[in-house]
Amino acid sequence: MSNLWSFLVENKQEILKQLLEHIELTFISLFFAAVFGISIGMFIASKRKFAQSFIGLVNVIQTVPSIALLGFLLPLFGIGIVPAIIALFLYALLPIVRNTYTGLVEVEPAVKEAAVAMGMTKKQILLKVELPLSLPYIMAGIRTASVINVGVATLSAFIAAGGLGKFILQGIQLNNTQMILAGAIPASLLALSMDAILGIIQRSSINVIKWVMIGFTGVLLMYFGGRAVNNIDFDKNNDDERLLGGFPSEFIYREDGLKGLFAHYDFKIDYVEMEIGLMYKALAEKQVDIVSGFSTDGRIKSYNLKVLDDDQNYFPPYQAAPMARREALRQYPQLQSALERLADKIDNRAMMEMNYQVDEGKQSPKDVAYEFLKSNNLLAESSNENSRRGVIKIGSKAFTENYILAHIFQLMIESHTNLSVEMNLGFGGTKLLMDAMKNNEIDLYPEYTGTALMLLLDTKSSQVQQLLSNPEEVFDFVNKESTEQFGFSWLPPLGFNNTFAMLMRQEQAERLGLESMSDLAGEVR
Amino acid sequence: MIRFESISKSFDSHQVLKDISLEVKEGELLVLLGASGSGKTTLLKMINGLIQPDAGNIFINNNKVTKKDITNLRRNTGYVIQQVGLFPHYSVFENIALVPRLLKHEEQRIKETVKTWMDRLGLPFDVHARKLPAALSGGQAQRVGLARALAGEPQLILMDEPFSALDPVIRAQIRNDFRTIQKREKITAIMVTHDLQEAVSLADRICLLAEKKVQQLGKPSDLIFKPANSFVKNFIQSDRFQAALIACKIKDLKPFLTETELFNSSDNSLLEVLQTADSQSGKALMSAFYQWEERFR
Repeated sequence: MSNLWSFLVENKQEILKQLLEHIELTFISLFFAAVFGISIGMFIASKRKFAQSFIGLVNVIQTVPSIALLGFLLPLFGIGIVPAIIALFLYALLPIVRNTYTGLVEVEPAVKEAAVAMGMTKKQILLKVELPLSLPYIMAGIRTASVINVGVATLSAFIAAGGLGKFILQGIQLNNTQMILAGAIPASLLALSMDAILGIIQRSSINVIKWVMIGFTGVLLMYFGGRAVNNIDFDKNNDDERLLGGFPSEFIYREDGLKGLFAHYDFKIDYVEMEIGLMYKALAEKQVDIVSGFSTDGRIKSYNLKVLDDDQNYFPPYQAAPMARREALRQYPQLQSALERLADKIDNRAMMEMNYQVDEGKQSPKDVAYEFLKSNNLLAESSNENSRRGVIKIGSKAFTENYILAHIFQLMIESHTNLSVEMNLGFGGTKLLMDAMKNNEIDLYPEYTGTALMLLLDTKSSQVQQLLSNPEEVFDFVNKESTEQFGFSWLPPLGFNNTFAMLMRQEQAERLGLESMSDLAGEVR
Repeated sequence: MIRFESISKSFDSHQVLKDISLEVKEGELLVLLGASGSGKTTLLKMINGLIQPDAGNIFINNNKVTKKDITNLRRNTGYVIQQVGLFPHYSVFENIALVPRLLKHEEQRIKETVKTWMDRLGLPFDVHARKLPAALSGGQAQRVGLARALAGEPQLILMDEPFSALDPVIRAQIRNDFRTIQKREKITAIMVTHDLQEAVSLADRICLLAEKKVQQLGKPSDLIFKPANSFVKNFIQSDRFQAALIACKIKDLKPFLTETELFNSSDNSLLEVLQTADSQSGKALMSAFYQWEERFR
């Protein structure tokens, strides 16, 4: 608790800023949702035939998961405050439309009949009878929408629209509870207080509601006016060639992430925080110009991206290699010779191609692995199917590249040895795989030297810094440590290096003549 | 004042009115009487354009009712319904002031008008003017409904079962209050009801509707004592004696009575006077009644 308190005190300015951003997102979206929602509600109340289908349609919008909705809006509206407000607007629409409709329909028929018979015009009936009488319903709808919006607005941080979601998102990725609470508690308080205030307004007389609505509209108009005068543009100014980065929070806040990168290459660019899944899309849609990714990601091919060469070796090498239990290797020497055939056979391009075929081409990892080995003549001419002795159990982590590699290992072993293979794929993390290896549940799995270096062996950071520049030294180091600590041996690396990478659009990189990180640093410096 | 010419109306292929022609005289109170579904409300709502006839025309003061100036017509026509339909968000004052305001009367004049009508209908201005309709009893609400209909000083007032939801004592009071005002202001009134006793006690003339047609149009005593056909006879049957006592006014009995003090209330119905009469004058009144009734045979 005291930790949380000191975190709140230390970061009170940032919290206040995010809170104001949050209020901005919520209020603007709520305002437009109220204007459109009440109009739509009025329309469908006068044309009852459309009512059910229209409410159904708005219902469907409500069921779209918020992160998916942000994804849909990205190609249309880019990143930042505009798509966030549009998403919030869409979510706020349903309760307001439905309540307006219900309120208007629920006006007592005798009252409406009397209004007509007294000689009121349609407009007078709407403004003086129907709307005032449905106002409590409409206010209840706005109240519901406001609570929904405060909640959903936390997700706006995914597309760099700010708000209290920033702390929550970072907190989750950095596993920092205080940070999560610093975002979550003000968000809850905001929701509760908006609910309470709107509740009071809802219960007060029609005149009070009218004046509150007029006042709120006035304040918002002044706000928009202020924005227009100050010429603070909603959109990123994409006309000049100033490069904008888009990075996930973890990369931004890790010591060995963006900060170190800027220091290492001595440059700096503006950047926004983004969710990893939306990052590639935002890059392709020219909302950002540089993102951080992994060098063998299949999306590099599908979005036609350029990997900037890390020419000063800032990122540690992540060379992939089979890691196996020493006992298994001792028992079946043929296992080692079979897998050694893969040494340096898979380069970055080949691995990226395979990832692409699985992720975008929707082929099975096994087929892709087979095709690769076949076309590179790595499989034996004939295999001895009949006399299988001994079983090798292969594991993998739960992502595309690992699945493909596990299948490559399987095919190589079955092709070049008389061992049979059992597959045990999709482990949730490195820790689980290590435990499985220790308990003889699996014999080998594809691992990366960088992962081993950072996580497995708990290496002191000074040692890491020394090793970083040379992939061979890293490999030798992790091989030695793994053997000594756990009895796991590393077989020769497969050839590719799936490390962190700075990615740009191919077209832009070519136009600016950028090949490496040093080029980028020179360009923006 | 109002003339229906060959009015027909169907709802979803079910015909409720067929070729109806009817005239309402200026200043009279005409009751449209009939069972539910007889089309009496439909006929009433055609006058102020809430329902359009399929065929036929309606004339008010020889002007045909058209869509064009229906709003104006409505503002100059009082309208009272069973559910009252007061605006729940308007105070009693604002409800009554509604039509004068639509007619763009001056605010000072409106205030006087509202006060006048509230007083006449037994609603003390200071007590009730600021109340919301939710704070009124059923009888008070309908009094406000009447005041609202009358505040525009209309020449015509349309009423759809205005007293049916009220309890009997209040009902009789409001009914009499309204009848007094209607006669004094010479307002033409058309009232829909299914209640024979109410029709007989209020109406100058009754129009009995059934089977898409006008079965009989005439004075209450005509319907009771000279039913035009077996349908009218059957309709009257179960309530006939009470209705006859209501239809008979004390002044009608003058030729058959010698006692004079009863004539003070000569406009009252026989039924009302019988409620309070001692047995001797009761006997006298009843024997006079039978002699009066003989005349219709």
